[in-house]
Amino acid sequence: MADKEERQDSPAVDCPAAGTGKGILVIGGGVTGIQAALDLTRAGAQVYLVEKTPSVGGRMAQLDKTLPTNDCSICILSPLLVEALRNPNIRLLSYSEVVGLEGTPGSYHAKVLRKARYVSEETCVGCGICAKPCPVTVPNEFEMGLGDRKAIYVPFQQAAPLVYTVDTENCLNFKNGTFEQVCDKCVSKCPRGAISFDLKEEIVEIDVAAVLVATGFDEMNPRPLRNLSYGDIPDVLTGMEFERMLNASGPTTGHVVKRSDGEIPESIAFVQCVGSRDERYNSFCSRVCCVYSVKQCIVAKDHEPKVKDFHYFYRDMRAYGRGFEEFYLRGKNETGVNYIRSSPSSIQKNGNGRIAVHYEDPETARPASIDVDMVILSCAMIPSAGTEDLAKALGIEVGADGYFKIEDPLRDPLTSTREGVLICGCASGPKDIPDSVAQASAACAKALAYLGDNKVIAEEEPLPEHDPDEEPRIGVFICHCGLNIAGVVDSKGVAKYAKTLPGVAYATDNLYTCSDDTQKKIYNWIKKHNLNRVVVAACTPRTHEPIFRQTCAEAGVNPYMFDMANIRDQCSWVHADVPEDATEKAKDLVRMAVSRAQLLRPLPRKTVEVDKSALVIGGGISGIQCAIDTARQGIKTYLVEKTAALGGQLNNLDRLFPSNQSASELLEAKLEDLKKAGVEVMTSTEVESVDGFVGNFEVKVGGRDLKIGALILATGGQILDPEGKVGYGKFKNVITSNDFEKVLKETETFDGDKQIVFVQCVGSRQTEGYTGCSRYCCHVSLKQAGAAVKKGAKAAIIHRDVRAFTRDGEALYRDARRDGVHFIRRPDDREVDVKGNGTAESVSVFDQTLLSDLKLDCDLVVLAVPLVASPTAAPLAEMLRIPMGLDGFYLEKHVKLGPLETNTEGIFLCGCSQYPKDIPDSLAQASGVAAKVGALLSKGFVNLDPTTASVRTELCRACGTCVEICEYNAPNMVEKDGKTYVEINEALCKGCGTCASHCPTGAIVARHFTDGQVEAMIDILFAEQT
Amino acid sequence: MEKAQSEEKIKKLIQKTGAYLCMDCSKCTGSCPIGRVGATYSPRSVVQHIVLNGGGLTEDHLWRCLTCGLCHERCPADVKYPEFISSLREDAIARGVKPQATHQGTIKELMRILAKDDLKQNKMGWLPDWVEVIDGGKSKESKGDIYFVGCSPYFDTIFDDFKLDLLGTHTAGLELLKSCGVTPAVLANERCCGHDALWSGDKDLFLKLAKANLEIFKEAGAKRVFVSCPEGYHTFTTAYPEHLGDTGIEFINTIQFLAGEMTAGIQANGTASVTYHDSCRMGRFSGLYDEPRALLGLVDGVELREMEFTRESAPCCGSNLWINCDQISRKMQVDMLNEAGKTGAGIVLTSCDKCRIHLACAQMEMGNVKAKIEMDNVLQFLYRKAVRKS
Repeated sequence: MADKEERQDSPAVDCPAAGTGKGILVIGGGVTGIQAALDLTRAGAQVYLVEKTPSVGGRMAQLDKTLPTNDCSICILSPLLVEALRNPNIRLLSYSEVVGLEGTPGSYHAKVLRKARYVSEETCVGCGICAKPCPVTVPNEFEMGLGDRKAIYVPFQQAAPLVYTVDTENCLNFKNGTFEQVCDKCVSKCPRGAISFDLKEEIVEIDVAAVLVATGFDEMNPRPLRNLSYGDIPDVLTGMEFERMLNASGPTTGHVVKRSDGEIPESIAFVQCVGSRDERYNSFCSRVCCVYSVKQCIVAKDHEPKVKDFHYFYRDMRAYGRGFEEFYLRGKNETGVNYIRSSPSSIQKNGNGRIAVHYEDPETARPASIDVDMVILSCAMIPSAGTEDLAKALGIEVGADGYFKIEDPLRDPLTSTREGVLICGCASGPKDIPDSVAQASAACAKALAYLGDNKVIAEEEPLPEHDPDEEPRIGVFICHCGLNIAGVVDSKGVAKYAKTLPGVAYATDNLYTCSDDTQKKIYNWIKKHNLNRVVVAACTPRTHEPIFRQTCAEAGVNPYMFDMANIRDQCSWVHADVPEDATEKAKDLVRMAVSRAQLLRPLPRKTVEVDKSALVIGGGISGIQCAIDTARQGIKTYLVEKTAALGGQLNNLDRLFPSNQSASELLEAKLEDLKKAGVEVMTSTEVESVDGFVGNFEVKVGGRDLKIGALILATGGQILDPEGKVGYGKFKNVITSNDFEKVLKETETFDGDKQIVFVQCVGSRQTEGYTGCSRYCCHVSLKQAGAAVKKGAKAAIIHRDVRAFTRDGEALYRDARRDGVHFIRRPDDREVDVKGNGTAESVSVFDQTLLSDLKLDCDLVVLAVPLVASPTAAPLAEMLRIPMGLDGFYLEKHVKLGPLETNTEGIFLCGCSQYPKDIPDSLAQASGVAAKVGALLSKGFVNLDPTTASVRTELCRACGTCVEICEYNAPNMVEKDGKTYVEINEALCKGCGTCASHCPTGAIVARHFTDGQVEAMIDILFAEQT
Repeated sequence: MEKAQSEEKIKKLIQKTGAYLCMDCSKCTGSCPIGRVGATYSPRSVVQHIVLNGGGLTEDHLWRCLTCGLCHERCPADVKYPEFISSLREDAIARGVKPQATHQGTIKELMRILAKDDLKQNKMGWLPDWVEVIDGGKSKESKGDIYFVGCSPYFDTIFDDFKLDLLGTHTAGLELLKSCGVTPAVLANERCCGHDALWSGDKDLFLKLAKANLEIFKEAGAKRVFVSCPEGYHTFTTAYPEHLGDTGIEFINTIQFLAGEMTAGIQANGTASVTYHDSCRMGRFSGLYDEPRALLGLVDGVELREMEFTRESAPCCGSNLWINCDQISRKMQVDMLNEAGKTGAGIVLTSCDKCRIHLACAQMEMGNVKAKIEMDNVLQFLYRKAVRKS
């Protein structure tokens, strides 16, 4: 308790003062903006979400699958869209643009132009009757022009809000923007009178504390690269166009077909770096294309096994992320992708109806050609249209690459050139989804600091209660999932069948059961038919159960009176060849779910108080940043570091990419911030034990017992010991890049003849063991070689691919070349040989460019070795029961959308404890975690899932089986009143049911999966069908 | 000492041409037209070789490049390979290495003769009567407008048997200019522009020629100089200022000028279908793609049928600088003529008369060409086939 009082006395001193802004403005409704909006509201902020187009969803809504898991993109995005849309603290201003920003951080005044849709958002129900008679058909932007839309339209079926919009560029009633009515087909057909050309645009003024810019990217039109024939040959497509073609809801319903004749292509070529890494267009690397093209090969093969050949042309294979290298190799080994390290010189009609791709055969250095049927161009990701106008409106700058400028990417990778205006996701350069959402969360942490206590924390309503014995009235909703399900399973037939099942009061089918408008419909059906149980037959509860549960709760049905049948992943997707059998299976699955639903019981909401404190484990740059941003939110924060000094790897480094700041200066500045933020630091200390659960961890550390609300793993990594590799250990002058940092620190100028040879991938990208890319090393060697050359030495880098994928990475690479660093590419299977006598004298390697062996004299050899997980990672993982990947780093909760959380609520991870990364990415992750911690702890309590196990103590014989097998430490043996039995800690219990299934006496009951419910499902499956 | 100097020179030329920036993407080698017809030539390998070794290029690699610029056109790192290779040639020539000249060296020698001081030439007898020929002193009538003829009078004699009427190009150019109200004078003693000397690495010769020309231009009071030869135009506008500073003279491409001045209303003597070959110096080097097409578009009854490879991707005529002509050159020329033939056009037009000479050479040799296609210069074609209305 004394601890608590002390906290109130020492508020974080470095918080920016809160101003008059009562909310946060988020610009851009793609996955980054949506994630930010949700994180902000979770932390108690009012959010204004401004989206330029008629619907939120952004680019992720257009993608087919996400890699490396090949999950359906819209399926993992759509629940977030629905959540954002129904969140009372998010005011969505779609089809709107920010036109002005005045004021100061904490007290900004923003002007938002709400463009006229000419359709009332309040009245329109998105029925689409208006679009049918519209005489104007134009290419649909959402389908990248491969499909059509009308001049009154919604961009896509799951659009949010599902409100039609009149496109004044194309509507007959507008000539150069001036209205003059010549057509009233839509107006007259709308049954609700929602369409009116009298509606006017308006300016909305809002007061906000901070602004988040998440305006994303556009795909460059490759037409100016005339030699690639885009626009001349209809089967030359862009990556985004092909993404739509692969999508089951897209213009070809997921079939890979040639636009020229509708035939299936036998052979497809993929071309990387179209308009990016190109001085004439965009010199930066677009960062995601190398791997998304591999995904497209794999998915295309999956959709259309008749496609025989995939010829994949690339310059440097930039598979830098976690699991990416393995994914790239999977493309070769499983899908048979033919990777060709060559950039095509031209793409032409071959004269026989096919397409000739001209290129250089890298094996012979001779020109070659290959005939294909389709070509996919990975075009540059460029700043989204309107970036410059928005920059003017916000009073911020854009960089030379056209993306918003970050004032100081090392100190703060999120802040623009104006304080309190934060940039996240692709608005500050191309990024993949995990990096974008991590930045979104990070920007939230920064923004919340400006908001101070201006928060809206809503009281949570208790969950609806029911008389469990009232007669079941079940509503069954069968999803089409566009064509994902209905393309195979007869969804209408299944709905018809469901109506015949006992207890079913209402059944119907929906195009997209998860879309926002369907939620409204389900709400109405529940009310109208007085339903008390709901079954949705659609996809997976892993992603979609929360949406439907919430809809149930809003309509007065207890959310645990809900069940899902997975007729997609486990039915239509796996039985696509046998549609009739699949339909029968879907009926079985629905029948089983309905029989279980009859036995479902309402469960109450459970909450547990949380301690407003956090412990950061690991005092490297990630841990320091996370502690600063956590403490700034008024959370008591501890930082524990096992060594004597804070700073981690930063202590070994000289100057840092991209701003060339000295590492010690950066560290000093961060330590100053840490002090000001009031973080309690414990060095030379290790965590001894951790008990408890979210909000209530009991941590023994440095002889103290601390009550902790949230734990952050920032244990970082360490350099792999390259003993025995490439002459390391054998020759004194073979050192690691870490050692070379010290050399750089201590050397003013090198002797002019000093020859330094850098060797990349020493120990990483191996066929066994460390199979992945270590992500950071290319940048380090580029930086070091560049610095060495500037200090008078001669430098050469022996590499396999130069993976300079970051915003400034390509410029770093270019500068190193300009400064005279030599680059030697070696094939994957040719090793580097160091020779010498006591000291290394020469490095031999096969040069893939010259196609000959090369011997380089050397005075020093610098090995780029990978980062491996810290030795403390594994014991901590065991202590906390946190899963680790095969690579030894902690596993994140979700590879796309949950890069900062672990599977255990209340435990987060950041920086290199998750995977090797550079400083800006680590800092972003660290700040992101701080926002997550803030959101978790801000309300003072957290909701627990009530679907836990319970013990009928009278049946427990204290055998201890459950205690032994539980992954989460939930069961505890207790002794009370002379009896020994097991109790379940409900905060730790995940409701997995493992204990219940192992309990020999049946004493343990999984509350939401009782034996009775499971038996009912089995019984009905095998029951005689009449 | 000499070696160190050469190394330093090579370092500088690598910097200057951006060769360090080569990211080994392979576009150049895949594009290179000589590689496509069988030569072993990889610009990126040449760059890597020079970057790593500072020299030691084989003579074949040194002289083989046609400097057609297709590799640079497509290079994402903006490596100026034609300049790179010609700078290496300069270094080689300084060491006494020389290319194999074609046509028994006649043309090379001619260039050297044209660089001599106080040279008197008599090559303008064919000019239309109205054209003033200045032989020393200022122009009397042309108000500073000069027309540069270039090497055509000599080539017309050397390649007499080709029957190309190379002088007709300039007659046409002058007459068409006159029809737009411009009546330039010509200079009796203008020299070779120096283009070939420059690109084959003989910088001293280039500088001599360039200085001599500028002196003559200035003496005549030239303000605007009209140039119909794409090589000459590119050399005057790019190499002269680069090596000699601001010339103070406006060099104008005749075709570009005419495309801007002439508007609708050119009547053809009958109909014709034509195809147009973008020469390297006109297209990729000077960016003049639309202008010749615009001019042809003004003529009623003329149909332009484009070849498969045009504009930025246009092929090379197979020979350049009067050096290193061989089977590879011939193959390229035959391919190009066949491509032109495929369009079904009766005439292949170009704005570069050197292209015309090289293609005619191949056409004379080959009995097996599918399309016996006629060849002409855009200016000549316009002047001879078309009559201006009103």
